[in-house]
Amino acid sequence: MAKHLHVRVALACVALLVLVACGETSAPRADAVRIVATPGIAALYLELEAEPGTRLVSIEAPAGRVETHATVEEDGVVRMEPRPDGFEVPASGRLSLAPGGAHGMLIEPDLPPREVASRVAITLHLLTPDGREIAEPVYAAIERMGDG
Amino acid sequence: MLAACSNGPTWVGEPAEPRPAPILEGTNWDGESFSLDETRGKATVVFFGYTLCPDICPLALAKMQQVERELGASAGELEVVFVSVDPHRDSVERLSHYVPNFGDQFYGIHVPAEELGALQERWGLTVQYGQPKDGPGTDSYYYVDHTGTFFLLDREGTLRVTHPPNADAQALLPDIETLIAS
Repeated sequence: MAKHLHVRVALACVALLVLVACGETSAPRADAVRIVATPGIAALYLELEAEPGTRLVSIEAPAGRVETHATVEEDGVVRMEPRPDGFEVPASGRLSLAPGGAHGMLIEPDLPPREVASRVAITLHLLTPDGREIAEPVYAAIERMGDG
Repeated sequence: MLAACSNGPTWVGEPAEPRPAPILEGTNWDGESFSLDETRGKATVVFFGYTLCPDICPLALAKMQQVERELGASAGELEVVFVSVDPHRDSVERLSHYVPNFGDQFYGIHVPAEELGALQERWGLTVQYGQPKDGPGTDSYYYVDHTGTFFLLDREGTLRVTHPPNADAQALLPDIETLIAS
C-alpha cells in the first residue's frame, strides 16, 4: 500500500516537473472577490492570478452592469477614470482590483437582502494573450457598508 | 515615536501652516444645524466626498471607523466630519442613512448648493461634476471628482496637518493621537 502511494507521489511530481518544463501556464484563478456596497452604489474588488498579458475584459453580474474604473489621485484630488477596455494582468501575473485603485463599479446594484445571501455569482470575462476567451464563474462576497 | 519635542510634534502627514480652520457650516444628518466650532475641545478630522462615491469615500469613512476602534477609550476625544460636495443628491435624509452606519457619532454635513462655491474657496477644494451617464440634463448617475484630503485639526480648531486620500488608518492614527494628547 505504502509502496503504491510512493509511486503515485513520484508520478505526480514527474507530471508537475513536465508541466513546468514545458512552460504550461495554470488556469486563471480569482480570489478575495468581494462587492463592497453602500446605498445605491457598490465597488467590486478581487485578486486575479493569470498569465501575464491576459486581459480582464469585463465583469458580468446579475446584480447589475459592472463598469471598470480606476480611482486616480493627483495633488489630493481623486478622480474616477473609466477603463472601458478592462485591465491587463501585469508581468507579475497578479492583477489587483483594490480600494483606491482599479475596481469595478455597480450603479444601483440589485443585491439580495442581507438575510438571504452573503454572496452572489459573477462571471469574469478574460482574453488570454493567445486570443482565447475565458468565462470564469466566481462568487463575490457581499460586504455592506452604510446600509448598502 | 509620538512624543512631541520642544520644537513641536513630529507629524506623519504633511504639516500645515497652523491657522484657524476655515468656516464650515451646514446641516448634520440628524437635521441639526452644524458649525465646525462645535468640535472645538476635541481633535477633529474633516474630509469631503459624496455618498454615491463607490470607492474612495466609503473607504475614508471605514478608515475613520478603524481609527476610532484603535483609539479605544480615547475615541471620544475625536470628532469625524464628513462633508458632502454633492448637495443635489446627498440630502440630509440620504446622509442619515449613510454616515451613522460608519459611526453614529460621525458628523455628515449637507452644505446647500448655493454655498458650496464659497466653501470650496475657503478650504481650497477642487470639485468637478462629471456628465450624467445617460446624457446632459438626465437624472442618471454622475461622478464627482473632488479633493480627498484628510484635514486634521487640534482641540483649538487649528489646522495642523493633512493626509492624502490614500493614507491608511495606521498613518492617520499617530497624528490623531498626537492631537488628542496635545
